[in-house]
This record gives sequence, structure tokens and C-alpha cells, in this order.
Amino acid sequence: MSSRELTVTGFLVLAVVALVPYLLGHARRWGLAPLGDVTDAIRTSRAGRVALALCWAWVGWHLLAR
Amino acid sequence: MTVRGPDDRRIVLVCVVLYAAVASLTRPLTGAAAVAVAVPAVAGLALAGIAHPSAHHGGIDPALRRTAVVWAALVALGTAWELAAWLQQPAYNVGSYEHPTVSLLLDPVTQAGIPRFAAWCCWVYVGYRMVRR
Repeated sequence: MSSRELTVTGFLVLAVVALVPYLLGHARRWGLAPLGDVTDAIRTSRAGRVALALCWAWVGWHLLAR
Repeated sequence: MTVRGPDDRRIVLVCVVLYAAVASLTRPLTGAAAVAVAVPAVAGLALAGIAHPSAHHGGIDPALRRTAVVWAALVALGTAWELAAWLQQPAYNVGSYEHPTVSLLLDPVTQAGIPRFAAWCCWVYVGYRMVRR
């Protein structure tokens, strides 16, 4: 396996693995909550809102501006 | 930012689509693209800093705590993998074919055309959802 294949496989594995808690949370199985509920809870504090906004701004900068 | 009803939501969606349509005409790595990202980013950060919390939670639900831990671990893993790829680039602003970052892999989507417009719509809408009450 080349370095490129390894790097891309890592991202794909992470994306697939992320689907598991997303779907389980959506169905409220295995004691997990929907991702939206977590972000809503984070948004109840100013620090949480600013942290989320910083992540969002960075994603926009990284993917759309550069 | 408070949205009261279906009409307000429609107005927000129209604004999101219009802004995304104009912003998606900018080319990556240009000053125009930087400004197009900076305007909503600064507005979003300002609103996040000054807006009042939409709800108060007495205690944190165990399911929420568990879910937050799982997502935090996934985000940390993704960030570490991205950082590992980025650190192996020949220069900070020169992509590596052997060690592509997420942005390099998503270039076909975010470079131009309808996919870039869709990416802009998603980004602006997520920002709006984050700062709304």
C-alpha cells in the first residue's frame, strides 16, 4: 500500500466510523444522543458557541478560500 | 439572530442561496474568496460571542456526555490524521500527492461550478444554524 493509499484509507475509515455514532445517536441506541443535541448543549455557553463558530470559520477558510 | 416563522425561514434560505451563488463565483486562493469567507465568518463569530444562550440545562445528560466524548475522540483522530498529512507536505502551502490533506482530496468539489456552489450553501447554512437562537 502506497503512502497515498494509506492516507486516503485513513480518511475513509474515519468517515465510515463517524457514521456509526451518527446513526446510533439518531436512533437513540447504545445510550447515544443525536449529534444535534450535543451541539445544542454546547451552544448554551458563550465559550461553546465561540468554539463552534471558530471550527466552522476554519472549515470555510480551509475548503473554500484557500 | 431570531427566526420566528416559516416566512422568516424562507427569507434566510433565500439569503443563504444568494450569498452562496455570489461567493461561489470567486476562485480559491484569491483575495475575493478570502473576503467572501471572512464576511460571514466574522459576523458568525461576533454573533456567537454576543448572543444570549437559547436554553439553560441544569445538569448534563449522561447520553449527551457520552456522545460528546465519542465525537470529541473522532474529531481528535481526524485532526491528527489531517495534521500528519499536512506536516508531510513539501511546504505548508504546497500539497503532496503522496500525503493528501482533506482539502486537497476535496479540490474537485470545492474548486468551481455547481459543487462549489453546493459547498458554499452548506457552509453558510451551517453557520446560520450555529448562531440562530
